[in-house]
Amino acid sequence: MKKKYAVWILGGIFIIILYGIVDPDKFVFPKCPFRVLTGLLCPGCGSQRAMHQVLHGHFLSSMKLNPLFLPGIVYAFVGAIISNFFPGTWPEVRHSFYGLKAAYLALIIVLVFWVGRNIF
Amino acid sequence: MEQYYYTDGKERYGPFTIEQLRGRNITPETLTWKEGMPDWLAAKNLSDLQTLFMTSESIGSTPPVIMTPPFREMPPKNWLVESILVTICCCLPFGIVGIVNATKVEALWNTGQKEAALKASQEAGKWVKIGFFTGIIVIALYIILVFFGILAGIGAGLSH
Repeated sequence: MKKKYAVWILGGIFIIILYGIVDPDKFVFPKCPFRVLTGLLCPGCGSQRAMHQVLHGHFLSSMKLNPLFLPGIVYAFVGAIISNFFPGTWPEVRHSFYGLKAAYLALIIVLVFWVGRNIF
Repeated sequence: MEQYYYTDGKERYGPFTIEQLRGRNITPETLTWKEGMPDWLAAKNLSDLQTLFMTSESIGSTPPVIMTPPFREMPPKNWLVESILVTICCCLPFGIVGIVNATKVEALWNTGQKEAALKASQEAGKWVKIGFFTGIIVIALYIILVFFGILAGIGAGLSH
């Protein structure tokens, strides 16, 4: 179990350094395969640039590149901490924020966003 | 004051006091649960809930549905968080399949279908992993291509 966390923490530090130093807008970074194949935007497009902006404290520019990135990361981070380090505690919180309604809401938001950003 | 939970077979509601249950359309057949009960029971079988049905008559009994009492046991991992991460970070729509499966895990668990919920959980996990590793492989292939591109460029530059 400890090994697993070490891998995640090292991976996280690597990503933070990589995206903190390199601006994906200026340097060649992997482009979204969905975008390359279809020419359309997917729900994750812009998140690499958004990550760079977040790491530099430019939250507004991050929201402009991909408005789901910052809220999604914060939500997922809190959820991961709760389920990994406090399993079984606060079942009500888990039920309300990471349960059925949350999953449906996430699904609707992602799909609406996906369609919407390709139309507008 | 005793706290009660009830379910419509899809979602759990509660905790409520008896007074709060009054306005909530509890029928004699509604499955209810309170602290200390081993399993869900139709409201008509709880003596303390009888005051809710003073006017209504209880009708024929149904076999008890096996359900998990609220919050007694944690549901299986629904992979919601991981699915969302894959969706917003990884450009591939596999994460969306993961989110759909996360809704299945929760819906099945809430209706007491433990086995099916566990299966849906595994399915959700599978799609998250597919999405994650496809993303990693695409990035790795891309980096290799760029690397060879740079080498080729240097080679071409040297030969001139």
